[in-house]
Amino acid sequence: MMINTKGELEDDVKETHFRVNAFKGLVPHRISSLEETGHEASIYSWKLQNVHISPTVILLHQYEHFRNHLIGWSYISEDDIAIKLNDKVILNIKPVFSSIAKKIEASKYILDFKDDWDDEGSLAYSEIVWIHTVKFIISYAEFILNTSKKILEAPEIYHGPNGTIDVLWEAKTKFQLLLNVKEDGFISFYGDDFKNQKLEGVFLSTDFQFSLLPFIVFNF
Amino acid sequence: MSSDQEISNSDKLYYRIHKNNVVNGEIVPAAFKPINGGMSTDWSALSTPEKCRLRARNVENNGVVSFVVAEVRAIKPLEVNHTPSENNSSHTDIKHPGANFSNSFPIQIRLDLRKSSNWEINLS
Repeated sequence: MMINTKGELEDDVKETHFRVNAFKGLVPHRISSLEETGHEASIYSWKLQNVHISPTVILLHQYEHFRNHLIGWSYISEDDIAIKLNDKVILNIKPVFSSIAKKIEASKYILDFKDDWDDEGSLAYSEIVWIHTVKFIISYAEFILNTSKKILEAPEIYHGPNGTIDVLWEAKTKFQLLLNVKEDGFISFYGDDFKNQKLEGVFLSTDFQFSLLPFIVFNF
Repeated sequence: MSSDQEISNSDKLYYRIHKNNVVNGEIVPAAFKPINGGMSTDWSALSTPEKCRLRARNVENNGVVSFVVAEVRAIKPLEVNHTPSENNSSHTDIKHPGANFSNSFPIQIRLDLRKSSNWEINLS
């Protein structure tokens, strides 16, 4: 919410408007009015080529300081990225998660492994565990976005031991967090700051509370 | 049969890394895995990285990393047990004493072993 019940601009608006000058000069893609706030305002959207981001812009005509400034944006769904497996769409994800989508695409190497891929008898990986992994990562990214307005850093997605898949976030010397996804949907995790702070746990990917998971927001 | 006391903390253990356990130049955490109870390594007092590599079924698919024994012993509760075999007098197991960890180590231990490993014969 950018306007409080007293009709005043909230502090996050002031912070946001400094970040939007990059969108100046773009041709509006869609225009609609903002009636529900009771303020004289308009919503503009711009479509950025090849970036899959459409900033939604609100111009508050009655506030001199913010006139003709972009003070916020959101993301449209028409350019969602389809995550496919064997030409079948597993899920559609927001364009803002494009870097995660690339890591997911790269992780399909796991499904190419045949039995005895390590010359020591390890078995091939199932599509089920890969799908569990992908769905969890995206739901986690959605949670982070909705909660903090930040984009989850794309993790490395590796094959794990005994048919499982590992999802690894590493922030240089700051912290590491590894989730291990099993075929039955259970996920165990361990993280630390390379010093004394550690956390670990286990949950079922189809039935859990985000509020009990580590909340990782990267600022490299 | 084990003889843990014979292995000095300053010794090294050599461990093969299969090429499929290296992704984009990084060793994956799953590379550090026991098989049937122990993670098989070669003790540096009786072997070399080259000899360790030559024990692989497909030599060309493998590189070799080393661990300093003291660093492995610092990863609790791992044990370093000299378990010589007929074909390999240097054979040494890195073991987790827990009953559930004969074919997979806990996540923390996989990450710690990964961090402690150093290339001796790099696959690249």
